[in-house]
Amino acid sequence: MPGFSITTRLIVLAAVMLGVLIVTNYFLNSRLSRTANIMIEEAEYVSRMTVANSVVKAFGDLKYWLTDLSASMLLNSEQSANAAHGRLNAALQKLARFAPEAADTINREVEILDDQMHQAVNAYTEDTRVLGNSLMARARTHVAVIDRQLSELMQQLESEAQEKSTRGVEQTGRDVNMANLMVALASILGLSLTLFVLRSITGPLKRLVFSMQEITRGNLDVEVPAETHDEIGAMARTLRMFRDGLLERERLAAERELAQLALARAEGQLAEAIESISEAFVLFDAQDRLVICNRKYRELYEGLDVEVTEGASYSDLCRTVVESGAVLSARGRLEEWLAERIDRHLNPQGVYEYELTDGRWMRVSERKTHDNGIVSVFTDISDLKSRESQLAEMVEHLKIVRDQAMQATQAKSQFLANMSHELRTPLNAIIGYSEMLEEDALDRNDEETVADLRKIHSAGRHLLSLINEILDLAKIEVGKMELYLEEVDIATLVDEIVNTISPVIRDRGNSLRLDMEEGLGFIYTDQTKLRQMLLNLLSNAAKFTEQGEIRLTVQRELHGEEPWLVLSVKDSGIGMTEQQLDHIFDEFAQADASTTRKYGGTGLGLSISQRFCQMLGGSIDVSSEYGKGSEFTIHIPVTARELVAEDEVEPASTPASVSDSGQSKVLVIDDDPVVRDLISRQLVKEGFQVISASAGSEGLALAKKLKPDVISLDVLMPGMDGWSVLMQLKDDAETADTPVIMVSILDEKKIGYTLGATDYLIKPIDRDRLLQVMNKHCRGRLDGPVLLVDDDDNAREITGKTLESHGLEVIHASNGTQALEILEQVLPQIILLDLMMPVMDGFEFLEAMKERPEWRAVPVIVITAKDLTEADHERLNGKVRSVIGKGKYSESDLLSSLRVVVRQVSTAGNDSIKSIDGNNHEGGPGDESSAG
Amino acid sequence: MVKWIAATALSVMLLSLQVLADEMASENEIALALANMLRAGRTVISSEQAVINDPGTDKAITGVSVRNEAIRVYREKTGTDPNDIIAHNPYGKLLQLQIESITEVIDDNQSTINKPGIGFKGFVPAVFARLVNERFRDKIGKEAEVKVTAPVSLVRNRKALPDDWEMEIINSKLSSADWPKNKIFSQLAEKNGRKAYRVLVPEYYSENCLSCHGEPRGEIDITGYPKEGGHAGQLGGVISISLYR
Repeated sequence: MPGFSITTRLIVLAAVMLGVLIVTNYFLNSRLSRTANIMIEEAEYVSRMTVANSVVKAFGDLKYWLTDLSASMLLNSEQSANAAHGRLNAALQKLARFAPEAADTINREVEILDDQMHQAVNAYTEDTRVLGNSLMARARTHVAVIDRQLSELMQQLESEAQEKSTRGVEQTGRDVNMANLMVALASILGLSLTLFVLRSITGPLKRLVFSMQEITRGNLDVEVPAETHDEIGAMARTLRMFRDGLLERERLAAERELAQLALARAEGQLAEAIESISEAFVLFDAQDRLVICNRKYRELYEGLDVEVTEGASYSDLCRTVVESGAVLSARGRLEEWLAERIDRHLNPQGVYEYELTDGRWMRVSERKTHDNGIVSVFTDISDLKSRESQLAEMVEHLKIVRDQAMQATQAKSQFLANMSHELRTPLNAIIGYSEMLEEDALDRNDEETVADLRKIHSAGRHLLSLINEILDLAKIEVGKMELYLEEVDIATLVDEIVNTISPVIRDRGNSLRLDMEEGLGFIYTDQTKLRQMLLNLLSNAAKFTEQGEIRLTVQRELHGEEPWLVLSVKDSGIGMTEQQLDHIFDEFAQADASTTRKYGGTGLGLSISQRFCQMLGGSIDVSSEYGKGSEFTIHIPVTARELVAEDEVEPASTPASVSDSGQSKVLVIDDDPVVRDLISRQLVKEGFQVISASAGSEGLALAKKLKPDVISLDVLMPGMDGWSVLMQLKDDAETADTPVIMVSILDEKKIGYTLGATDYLIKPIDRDRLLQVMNKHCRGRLDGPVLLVDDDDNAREITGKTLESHGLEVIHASNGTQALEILEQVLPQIILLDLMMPVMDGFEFLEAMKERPEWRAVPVIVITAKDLTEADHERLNGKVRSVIGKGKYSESDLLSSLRVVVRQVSTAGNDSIKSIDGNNHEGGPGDESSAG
Repeated sequence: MVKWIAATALSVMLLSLQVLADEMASENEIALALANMLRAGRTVISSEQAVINDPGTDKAITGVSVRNEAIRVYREKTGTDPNDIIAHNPYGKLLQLQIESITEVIDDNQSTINKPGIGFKGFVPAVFARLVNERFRDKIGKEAEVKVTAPVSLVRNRKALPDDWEMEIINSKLSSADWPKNKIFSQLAEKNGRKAYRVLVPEYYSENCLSCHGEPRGEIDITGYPKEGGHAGQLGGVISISLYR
């Protein structure tokens, strides 16, 4: 029962009662119907008897009136006799319905009787009395027949009626007993069921009421009845929730009490802390009324005729101090200084310093609170001021020294460069001539001379390589080492290197094992530098290994979504100790001095390799075990980016290199070079143009000059901190509208948003979140859908997946006709179009797109394997945004191109074709839209 | 000759017509006399009704007294002496026999008239007339019959029912609104398969009659019969005289 709702229970009860009622009623009805039938039969017999009686009566009347007529001759008697005869006939007709034979007999006899009686009457009328008497006597025999017939009929009807009546009475008696029994049973059933249902309701209800009373009395531990599925269950649930609510309220009240205690304690601590601050601290509210200050602050006004109490205005306090003549800075321009000071106080902008007449310097740091109050800290910076002047002198001195040192370095580098060149010229002569002489000596079989000439040749080569390396290092140091990036087939390059080094390896009885992945494809890098690095590692391995194995492993790896190339050189040579490993990449350092003696070399090779590797965006790892061998591993990105050395990102030079390419400009202001580099790399890869600033002041200058789309701003920075930068950006009409994303290790979102920051990211930076935020606030957001038109299913699939993995919706079409059908229904954000396709090729599709203005507005990027002719370019010009060489682009290139195009469109960029297939047709080889 | 023959024939025819006319006058006279005498007898019985209905005995209402009184009433009403009619009318015997019938009926019913202890005895003028007519039929029914009948709706005793001829004349002539009051109807007609000179004398309800035949209709009268609801002057009966030829 508790599984059912009360309503259901009552419905069931009512249904059962109704059922019982219906059954009882049906039974009583059937019994009553039977009794009624018996009564109807009885009534029928009564009716028959009535009919029979009416026959008897009518016949009696007929007899009487005929007899009367025969005596009186009165016409009135005759009429009465006729009427009686009529009634008799009618009654006989009724009688015929249940006693046809008797009715027939009586009718026949009556007709004869009537006839004979009338004959007799006629005879009397004619005074033939004898005849009349005779006829009367004959008539009486018929009277006797009829009387007998009627008597039998009545007897029969009476006995039948009697029988029916007895049966009816008996049946009724039985029915009454049965009805009583049924009513009793129904009553018991109904009562039991009602009690059962009532108990199922009142029982839980009582328990619930008890729980309610207990809760009302304050006993919250009382057990609330289990929640059933009925209304009481719902009440129990509500009660439980109510009880839990009360418990929760009690708990919260307790917590609030604790919190209030904690707050009071915190307030006390805060007051104590404020009091114990070594600087003068004061807080004014939005109406410039003093709220709280410490002892140090009150000391500032000692000896003056002013009360430093709650509610005092800073303007009044300041005026008292200035008018007392204590401020040296205000001397001679009292009102002007006062106005400036109060203005700076009400609109805090960084720090304010002033000198007092007693020789002290005060620095006021003021900042607005979130409710427009003002916090001021007054610091005595007299010591700082004196140190500052000393420091300034020192800096001046250092500048001179630095300039001298730089000049010396420059001179050294220049000297080295010149020297190297000067040295290489005679060295080439030495090597060349020593070779020629060697050949001559061989021809003369002058073995001794050959041996000497070989030494000269070998020493010359060693010297040359030494000079080359020194030259490289010098170039790197003065920042003159350049990269020449190009597409290189990895397998071919590695094979060439292996062929070159193999003789050297074999010289010391070593074997080379090459493990190279299949399908490494191309790398976009500086081939010469990669070759030099690998040769250096392999020759080192060969140098320090005898009769061993050298293993070169080449494979691709994914760093995040970016593909990298990993080249590992492992030898089974002498290995290194940990101390040796620490200095392995230092310039002019080998494992130790003995190594140089034994194995030769300059100790510059690894250092140069590492510097090259860093220039290509990668790094070199080393692991080694002394006596067992070493492993050097080069990691470089498949698509190298030329890194600009840290020092070169000077504000002065950056703007010159920033050109308007349609890319979104992001200004990164952060003192940490690692963060700047990280954000820059991630954003450049996604097609943003990034400008960096290492200090707030630089950032402000760049922001005004370059008008970036978004500014990424650190908070904790030396000098001007992020908050100050943000406030100044927002105060300046030129930069106020630029979205500023705070990127900090501090979680101070509230302050950030209050000061006008657009978004807030907490370090360490989540790459996806960074991109999401940047995309959100930059113009021309790429959000799809992208229509991909290509007849090559595989190519379309790969590109489609790449785009989808960046959350873009991709619509596929395998030719121009299909693409046009799609355009009828959906207008994509951008179209990627193959040119060579069956049915309708890319050129025809572009023609067809001109038909509708809304289609013309959709930017198209052509991806083609075709080498475009001048004629092709003519046809494409004005219709496509960019051309990408099939198989010549990376995932990031593609996305970058898409974003650039979308942004160009959003800023109503030009219509000229740009390509990233290396064959630029409008710009030079360094065009911004090209990959790399 | 022809004139003579024609005159003779005419004379014979005229003579015959005269004879016929005389015959019908006698028949008319005797028929009317029979009707008047019956009426006179009824008048006497009517005037003696209170005496007859007296439960006492010996009322001295005898055949002779009634006959004499009837003749006196006849003379008074008609101004004619019935004996003259008996004497000169060829059918005078019929009136003579009717007077004898009156005498005999009174004499035969002396026990009824004088029955002690019973008031109303049913010996009313109509019953008296029927008994006289029956006695008259017994005496000379082969030559003549007198009957009191009425329009069918007013007949009480089936013996008084009109025959077909009577019914036709009552309905078409005597009951019609334009039939002159008291005008008799006579005609040569068939009766019981014989040729007869038939006379119908209309009788109208007088105030005396209405005590039994008047309003309210259906109320039981002294004889135990429902009243007919008649009015004074309404055709209430017809005396039918048939003289067989």
